[in-house]
Amino acid sequence: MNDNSFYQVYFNCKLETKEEVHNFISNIVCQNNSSIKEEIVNQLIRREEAGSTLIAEHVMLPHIESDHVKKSQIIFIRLAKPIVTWDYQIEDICLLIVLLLKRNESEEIKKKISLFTRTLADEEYLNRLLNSKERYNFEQEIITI
Amino acid sequence: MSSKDNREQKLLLFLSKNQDYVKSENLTEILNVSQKTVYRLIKKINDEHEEGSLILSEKGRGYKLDYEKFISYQKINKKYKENHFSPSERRERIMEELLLYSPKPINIYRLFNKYYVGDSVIFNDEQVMGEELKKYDLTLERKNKTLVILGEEFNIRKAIKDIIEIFNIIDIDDLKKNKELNFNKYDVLFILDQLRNIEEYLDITIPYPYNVNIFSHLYILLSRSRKTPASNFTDEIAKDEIQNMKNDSILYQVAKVIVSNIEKYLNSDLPDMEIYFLYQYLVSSRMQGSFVQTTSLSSEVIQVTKVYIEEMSIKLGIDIEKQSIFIDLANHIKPMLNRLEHKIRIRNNLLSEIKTTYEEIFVDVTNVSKVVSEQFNLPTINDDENGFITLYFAKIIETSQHQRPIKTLIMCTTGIGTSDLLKVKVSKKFPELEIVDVIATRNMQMIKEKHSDVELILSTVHMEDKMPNHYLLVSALFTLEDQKRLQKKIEEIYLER
Repeated sequence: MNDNSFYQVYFNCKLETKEEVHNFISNIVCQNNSSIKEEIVNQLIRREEAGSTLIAEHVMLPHIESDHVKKSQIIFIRLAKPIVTWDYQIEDICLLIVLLLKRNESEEIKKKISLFTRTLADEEYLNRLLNSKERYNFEQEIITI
Repeated sequence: MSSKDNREQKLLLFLSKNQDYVKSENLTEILNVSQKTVYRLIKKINDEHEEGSLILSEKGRGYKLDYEKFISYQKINKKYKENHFSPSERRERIMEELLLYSPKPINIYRLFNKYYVGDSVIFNDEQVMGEELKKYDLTLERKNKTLVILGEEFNIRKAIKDIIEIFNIIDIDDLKKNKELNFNKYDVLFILDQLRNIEEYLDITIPYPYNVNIFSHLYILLSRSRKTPASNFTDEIAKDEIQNMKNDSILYQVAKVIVSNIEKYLNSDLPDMEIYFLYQYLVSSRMQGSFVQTTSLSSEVIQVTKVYIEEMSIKLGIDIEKQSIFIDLANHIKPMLNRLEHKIRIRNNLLSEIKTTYEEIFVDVTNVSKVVSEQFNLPTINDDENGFITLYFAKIIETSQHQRPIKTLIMCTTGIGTSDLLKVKVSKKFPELEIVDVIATRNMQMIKEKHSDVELILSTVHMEDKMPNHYLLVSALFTLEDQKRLQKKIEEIYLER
């Protein structure tokens, strides 16, 4: 974790439905403008309709590119309790890794994000993230990327 | 091998190639015999097999090999049958003894005593053995009720190696434990040690069958040296050959060290010729490791390799990516040319299997070998060698390396989310795909402009528009189901080409 604000960790989040997660993400993007928030939520929903972002059991990778994102970020949302029913197909979600991409982001940042996503192909790594019960351990895993 | 044995072998090989039942009509065609003969043949094989039927049959479906039994059957079949010798086995054993004692004569009575045969049989055996030995430029002479084989030491060793069948079936890893092979245990351990020394000095590994070849050479060297004093060797080696060897300082040193180890072990001096003999085996062996890369390939090796690749690519009608096979094949050709020059023969135990499994490739390789022999003025390249070369080309076909990679594009909404992840997963599992780019769906236009040659698009998002290319929607999970569908798609694309 070279750049602290690039990665953000929300540990033990008490979110219980897909809608709550979407709202939570839109709140990170923008805190006070409800129309922007709505747009972000819609974008997330549309992305999911186009194709599932489930990348491994219990792990989702929602990602959007938007003008409203002021700074590209990677956000880890570790849920306090799994969301048993995400939608009619997807069950038992424990971890969300959210990619927020600023529109027309620099190549350098895009590369950085892209490098990170590739590490997610490593199932062992995902398992370690999933099994880190303590915030400290969880953050250590991210630091060592 | 009689034609009957041959048929059995052929039948078993053919069945072993087919996983499912084979109709008896197919078998009659393959073996070129009547249905009744096929039936009898199968009955005979099954009757002789003690642990139940080796070949299963089912009405309307045909015949099938019980594969597990087949494998264990092959093992049993290799075991030596004691106390019963066919005429050819008898001759082999007598020849073995004569060769090991050459140039000392052996009393005929002593030689044939245990086989209980009469004079006419002995006379006949002499004729047959004499013919056989001619192949090695050796002569069988009869003097005062004794027999003796005369000729150059190098040829005698060659004959020993070919005739003593045991050298062709040993497995180096098996040697230490296998009690059925009648080897001197101390010699075996000593030689295995020397093999390891060679590998250590050169920082290489010597793969099968070359390790067996060197092992046999050293084992024969030990047996010969004990039975015959070195002064009896009549071989002369040309001065420039010796000079060539001395110029190759690395291998020469190794040969020297090993021969000196053997001298200590035997507690007697060996002639310098032994260094030369061993050196020839080393140069003629394929080695794997760092030492190999530093030794350069001669222009002859490069030319011969090129001819093989070019001719085979025409005959097989495929594009062979030169880089993919060149180094590998050249590293095989280099010692092969040496073997041809020095008449060192390596038995190819897989030959009959290679011939049936890769029949066409084998025939093609044999033809190219003829061309190579003529063009480069080389001795005839024998079937054992052709079999080895066949495997290099079979490998290309099997791994479908001859297919150029499928240019693939990966897409998702942003071009850096799930698509990037998918890229890693796909390239790990499907090396035949060349992933040219990862793009965002809104950049669809790019496909036409920048990637007009893309053959396949993988996407994690559903596309509304009709795709110009092959298109497959997969999940970011890249599940087994996804992989199966992709495999199917790849086959479709190969078919269309």
